[in-house]
Amino acid sequence: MRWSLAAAAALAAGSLGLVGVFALGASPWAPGALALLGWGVGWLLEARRVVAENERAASETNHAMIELAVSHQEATRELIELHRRQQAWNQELETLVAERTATIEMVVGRLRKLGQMQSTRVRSLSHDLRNPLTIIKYTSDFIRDELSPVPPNVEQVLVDLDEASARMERLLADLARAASIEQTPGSPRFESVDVATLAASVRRRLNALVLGRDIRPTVFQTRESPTEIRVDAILLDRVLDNLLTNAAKYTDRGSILVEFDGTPGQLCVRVSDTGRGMAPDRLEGVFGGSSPDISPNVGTSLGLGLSVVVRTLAQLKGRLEVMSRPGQGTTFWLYLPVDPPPESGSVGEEEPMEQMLRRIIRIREAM
Amino acid sequence: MKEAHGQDARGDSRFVDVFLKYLKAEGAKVVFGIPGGLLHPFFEAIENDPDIQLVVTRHEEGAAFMADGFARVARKLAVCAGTSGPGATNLLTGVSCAFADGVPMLVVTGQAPSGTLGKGAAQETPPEDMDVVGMFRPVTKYSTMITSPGTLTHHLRRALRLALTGRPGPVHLNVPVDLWGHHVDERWFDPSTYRPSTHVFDRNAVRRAAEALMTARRPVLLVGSGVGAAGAEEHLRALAEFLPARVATTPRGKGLFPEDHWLSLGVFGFAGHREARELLLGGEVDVLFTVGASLNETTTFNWHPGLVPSGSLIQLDIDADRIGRNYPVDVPLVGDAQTILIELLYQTHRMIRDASKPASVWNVAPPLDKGHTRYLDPELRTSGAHPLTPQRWRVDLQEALPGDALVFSDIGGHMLFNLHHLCIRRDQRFFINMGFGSMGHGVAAPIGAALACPSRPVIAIVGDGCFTMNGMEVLTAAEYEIPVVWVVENNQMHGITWHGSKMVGSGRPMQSVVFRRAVEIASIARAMGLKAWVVDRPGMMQDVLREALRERMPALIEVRIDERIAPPLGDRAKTIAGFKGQES
Repeated sequence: MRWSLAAAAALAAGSLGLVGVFALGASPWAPGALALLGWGVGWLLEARRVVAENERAASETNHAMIELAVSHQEATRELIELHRRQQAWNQELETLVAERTATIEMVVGRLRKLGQMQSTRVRSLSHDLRNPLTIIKYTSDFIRDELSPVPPNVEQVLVDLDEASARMERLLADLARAASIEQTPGSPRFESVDVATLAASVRRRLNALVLGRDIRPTVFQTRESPTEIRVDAILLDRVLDNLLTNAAKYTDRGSILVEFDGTPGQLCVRVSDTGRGMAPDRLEGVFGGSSPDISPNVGTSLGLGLSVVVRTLAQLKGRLEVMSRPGQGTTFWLYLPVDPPPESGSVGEEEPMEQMLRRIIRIREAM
Repeated sequence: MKEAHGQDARGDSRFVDVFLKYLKAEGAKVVFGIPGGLLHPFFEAIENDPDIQLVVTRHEEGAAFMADGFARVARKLAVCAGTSGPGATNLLTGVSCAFADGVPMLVVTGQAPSGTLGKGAAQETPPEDMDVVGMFRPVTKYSTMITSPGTLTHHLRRALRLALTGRPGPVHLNVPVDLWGHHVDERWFDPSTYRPSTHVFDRNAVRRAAEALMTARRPVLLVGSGVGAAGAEEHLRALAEFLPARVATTPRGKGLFPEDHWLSLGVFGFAGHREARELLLGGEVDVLFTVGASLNETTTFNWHPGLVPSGSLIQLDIDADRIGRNYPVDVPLVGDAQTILIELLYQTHRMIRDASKPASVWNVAPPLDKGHTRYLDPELRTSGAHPLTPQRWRVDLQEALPGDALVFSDIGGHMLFNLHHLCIRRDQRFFINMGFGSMGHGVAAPIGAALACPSRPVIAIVGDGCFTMNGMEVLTAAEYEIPVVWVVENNQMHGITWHGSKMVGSGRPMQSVVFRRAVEIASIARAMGLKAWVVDRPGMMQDVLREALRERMPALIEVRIDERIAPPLGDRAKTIAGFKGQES
């Protein structure tokens, strides 16, 4: 505002001098001097204003330059700070990413394990399901023998039953194949199991397995047997089912005898059959681990079940002894601790099957 | 000094403390008895011991019966105690029952202080006077008075060894009151170090028995109470099914083989079943295998000669003295029934392995009758008559009887109906003191049984005569809340004597045994604090029994029956008649 007022004043003075020059034109000299004076004064005033204006502008420019420099400095500092913070964030981010990655890897590992376990279970279940299926098949044969001649309506039912059994058998085989071969044992859940109840259950299962066949099933408990043991009932069932099913499968006639006995600190389940039995070299091949063919269709007395039995026994801290004679039969002795130590169930996952087999199964010399 | 098992060998304990330690080591958890001055230190120690329960009974006889019931069910040592004098003699009947049936029991009686014996101390019963030790001697495996502190534990261990090895039975220790407090400085013996296993057998004899059984075409097993004492029911059933062999039980062994099993012939002998009698005496059996059966009068139809099989008689008994006592035996098997049956199973299994095959034809023989016609008077089993028939209410009871029931029968007319008309199934058990035949046992013994096995329902079927003898023991059950259901068959008399008297002598019923005033059993029970019901019509029993069992408290069902219906006395009356004939 001050600058514009000064300029206005200078312009006014200059204008006034020109007006005086033209107004005093009657005296050629005197009016000319006045005009010049006025113009000079005006010019001086204007010059002074311009100088002042320039000084002001320079000062303002200078001030602005200083402010700019300060701002630049501050901005630079801020940039450095931001950069530092960015670096810190990056570092933090990297750590977080690393952690998340580790977690994800862990989850992926677990999922993989679960997947393996699931396939193990599927595989085991598909094998276990063969036991009741065998019973269904034998029951069908038994009904057919008992009702001979079979009335047509019953025959149709039996045919349907046979077809359904065969279908189920195929499905189970597919299921077993589909499941992964790799197995990862789960943690057993130890609970108290009453041995008399267990023996009664085994009796029922064995009776069903040999129903209508020329096989005498015998199950009993001795007074030396512990009254109860701490064991994972589901896993133990799996082992017993395998032993019973195979005894029934490979015994054409005679007797299957199951005894629940005890030695100090252990339950001993003895499963003895009068079945086909095995020659010593074959016995060594299957149970000794020298050529542990444990594929599903091996045709041994345990087949696929052997690998399941061995792994399950490893979890249960149990062991198995076997004695066999061709044409005379096979006897298994299953030993289980009455009260397994607390670390039970921590099975070395990496232990190869062959080594585990040798550790858990012992071959007895035939008498 | 340390004992071989690493336990503290010597100590400064009183004898009574050491005594209780041995009892606990043998698994005794309950002591039945009535405290008294001359046995005070013993009872006081038990009262203060948290691991042993003291059950104070109404009468010492009840204590002995309860101990008997406990041991029969638990198959462990039972303990009863009575103070000196009458406290001791009151135990005698119960101890005799245990002796007759081979029940392991430790009997403890009090005695006057050792320094005063023979000087006329109150209730003293020394050897030279009213010899209480001598009184117990014929009815125990061991009876002695401990006379010096130095032999205290020696006698105790010997008593325990004898009670629990070989044929089990009662043992008696009479202890002067001052000895209980004596300090004992002796080593501790673990039971395994003083009580050896006697489960031995003659392998050759077992082989011969196995061969005889495998080659038999019509083998029959006759099962006695020894199977129950050895816990060999499962092993017996396994052998019977293996061969297969048909199975009859003695009256004492009733139910040890399931009576609804396809091979069961039922009871042979006293109040037995037609099929058992016809087969065993019919000359068809080629191999008869008696297992834990003493072959006495009630088991053999008065030692019927037709019981001898055409082939071999195999007799298994834990007591060598019972082998060949009444019949010539071809294959004697001396030992524990379970051990020998297991060995027999293995022998037969091996023989099959060597290509043998059992020759039995029972699996292709016509099946046995399992319906009402299996029994005498089948029409009375389904009768809708009022008054109620003894047969009908038992059929009703059978319907509601839990699958794991422990059934006790007392002695008398109701016993004969029980033996004949009850069908004991697989997991049920039946107990009766047939050896000594003491009335009143069925009232008290079930209380001990319920303590031995609290998880199983206990039902006692007793007669009105038995109930009036020992019925006050129901108060013991009420006091300790021990869940027994008594089913009291009330015919207002001693029925077996009344009906039996018509079959012997002049044939005139003995009227003296008919109660002159009616006894209302249910009212008595209610007065003792029990829930009680009266059943007097067909079809009532099922609901009443279920309700009584739901209570899980002592309860009583009085069954009023038609007293004119005679129990299946059969040859028992003839035997008595025979005895009378011999006497005259």
